[in-house]
Amino acid sequence: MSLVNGLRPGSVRGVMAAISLALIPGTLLHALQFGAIVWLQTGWCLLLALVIEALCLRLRGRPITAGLGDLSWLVCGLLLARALPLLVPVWMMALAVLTALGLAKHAGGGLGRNRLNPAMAGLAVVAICFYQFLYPAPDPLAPWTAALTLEELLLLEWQLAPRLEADALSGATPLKTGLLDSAAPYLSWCGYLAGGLLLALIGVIRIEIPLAMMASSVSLCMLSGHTLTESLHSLSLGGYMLTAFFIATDPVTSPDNRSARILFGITVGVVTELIREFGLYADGLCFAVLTANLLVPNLNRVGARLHRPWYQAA
Amino acid sequence: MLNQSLTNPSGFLQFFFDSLSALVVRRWRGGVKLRDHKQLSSGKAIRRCPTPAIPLAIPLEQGRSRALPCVKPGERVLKGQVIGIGDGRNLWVHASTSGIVQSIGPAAVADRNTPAESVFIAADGKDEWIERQSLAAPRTVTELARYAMRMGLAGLGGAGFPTGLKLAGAERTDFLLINGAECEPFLTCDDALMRERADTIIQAADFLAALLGAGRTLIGVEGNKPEAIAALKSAIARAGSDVRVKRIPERYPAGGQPMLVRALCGRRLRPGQLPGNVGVQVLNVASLHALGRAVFAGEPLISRIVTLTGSCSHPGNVEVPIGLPVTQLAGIAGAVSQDIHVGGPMMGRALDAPEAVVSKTTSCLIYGAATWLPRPEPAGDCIRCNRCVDVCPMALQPMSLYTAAREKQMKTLKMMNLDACIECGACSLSCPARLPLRDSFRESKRELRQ
Ligand code: SF4
Ligand code: SF4
Repeated sequence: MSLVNGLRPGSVRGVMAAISLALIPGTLLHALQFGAIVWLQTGWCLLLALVIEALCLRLRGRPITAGLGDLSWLVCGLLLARALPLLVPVWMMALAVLTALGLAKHAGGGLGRNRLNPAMAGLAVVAICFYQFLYPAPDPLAPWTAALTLEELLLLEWQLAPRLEADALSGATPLKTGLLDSAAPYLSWCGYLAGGLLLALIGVIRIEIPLAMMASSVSLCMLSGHTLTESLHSLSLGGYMLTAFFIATDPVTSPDNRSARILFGITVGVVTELIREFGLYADGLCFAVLTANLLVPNLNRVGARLHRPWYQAA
Repeated sequence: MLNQSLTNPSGFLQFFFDSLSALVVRRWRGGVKLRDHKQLSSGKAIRRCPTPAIPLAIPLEQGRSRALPCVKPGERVLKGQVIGIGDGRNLWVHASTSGIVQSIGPAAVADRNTPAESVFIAADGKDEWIERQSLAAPRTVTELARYAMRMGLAGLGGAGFPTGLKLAGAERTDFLLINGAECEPFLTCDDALMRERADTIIQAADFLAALLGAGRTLIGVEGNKPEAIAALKSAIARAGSDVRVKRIPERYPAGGQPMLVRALCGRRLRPGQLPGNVGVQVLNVASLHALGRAVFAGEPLISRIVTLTGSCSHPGNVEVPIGLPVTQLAGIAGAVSQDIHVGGPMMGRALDAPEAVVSKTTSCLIYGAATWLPRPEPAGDCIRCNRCVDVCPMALQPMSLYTAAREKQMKTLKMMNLDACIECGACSLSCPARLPLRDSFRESKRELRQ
């Protein structure tokens, strides 16, 4: 029986399971908007993550069942599935998962020793190498993927059917005019927000990271001349909430004390906003997280200087 | 002392500050909220152990203290008779009941790693007291310290450090702090003592405070023991004493010395400092009670209260003569389980020798440990979740210390202040990767000392 009071999961497996569960509402809303492709992509990513994790463990001579038992591959697979644009071909997912688990995590020293967020490293490689393939991705304003059949989706994912061009599409697929599209252009952020707050409540993630990140993004956005509503609205776009609550909060790649974590959140928020405002990419979240990841040792040092043990006289 | 401190301005400031500190509970950072499981054993009054008529083994060793046996096999001893001679650093040892000395040799002790040299006594069941000497009450701290050594007074709260040695080291004392926090889960022995014997505790506190010249006496009790707090308060009112009871928040390790000193009187005990260095003296309630019995009734320390809890039909607190085999307690507790944990779940250990005996520091027996305590699990990889950092009451970085300890980087360990670790185990308990943090720190500390 656990001696610690509270709802906080007491094992690494519990932590990972809680994060995976908290991802469900957001994924559900996402699927509601974009259709079966979301589940399909999640399925592929999980399968790939499982296989590649097992392979890496095998190569490193680690016990496989124990290594898989911590469920860190599950979280990584889910995050990648959600972070990658929809309708990317399967080989690209494989590349991303391989980069994430093989390079960023296992080659970086295994669970707990990597400096870069695995999912973001995987996404970054794909985003840099195959920019043309990815964009424009299915957009919440035109969630045409919802209208495709499973067969069409599979063919597209395996690149057996020619890639659909956005222009060709808007004519080919009638834009759905349902309640979803008109009421809320992009839905899943509510799900991620809810899941993230729940995680913060049971003590799995540190709320200061998303808070600092959002605060800095909004302030910068307003500084660059947008109104408050617009700035707040920008938080719901793309994978912002997902990144804020599930990716930037990854304990392994975030700092070790509260002040440093706040600085970390601010860095992510600022870089994201800069890329969104001036950059080539529509969404700079993954580069922002990677930048901040690299700064962690420095942030730790700065933060540690601000902390004084309670027994040391002021 | 009051007049003295009021004569100069800085003394006056100090006096003012101390008065303020005596009123508020100061905060410290870290610690963890635990499921305390105290209701299991806290309901009933302290029971007496039936007079034993079986062989007892009374340890001559207690912590680092070691007494020389002064009885021979075949000799009859009475309850309270000296059987081991100590000195300025070693506690004297007394027979806990009457009987015939059988032999002298090593015996397994419940809360000790290694067997301790002990006097085996075949108790005769008569429980005959030796004539109690009505010594004049000690009049100075030095006298009291010597008296405490002669009466075998070991600290009953934790490691069993001789009370006499603690007092002998006392310098200027502004605050006498009594530790009634009992922050370990499952334990209710101090709770029971405070509820039922508050008068002796308060009387002893007043006596000791007067002797030490302590201006203020504060008792810290965790908020989960309202009856104990009420009992102490009414005892204070009856005695017209100016001891104050302070309710401190329930958070492990609230009873740890630096935490208790901070919470009760606001002073900061830095690692490496002794309470005496900051004008404070800390004593556990049970140790204080034993001191009271020794001074007022001339009774040496020959019994203690042990909490019997966990999977048993009659949990509760029992006053047990020192040296009684723990097997005898199973009957009293109504326990069948052989899976026994000795002491609290945080600081205690599994009972490995079933024939072991109760010592002065055996505070608790948890029957059916596997069902009540966290299951030991294989260690995983640190995920840098920082929980260990959050809970460490000494503001250390257990995860970094662990890496350094594993790689035996002694310099780094020193730099990261490993010596400050109080081995409370809060970090190990909170670690989701189940890393044996505390155990590795314990070992590294030993290596550092060499
Ligand atoms: S055992 Fe040491 S390092 Fe761990 S929480 Fe306690 S004081 Fe801190
Ligand atoms: S609690 Fe355990 S897993 Fe978490 S940072 Fe500390 S050592 Fe690592």
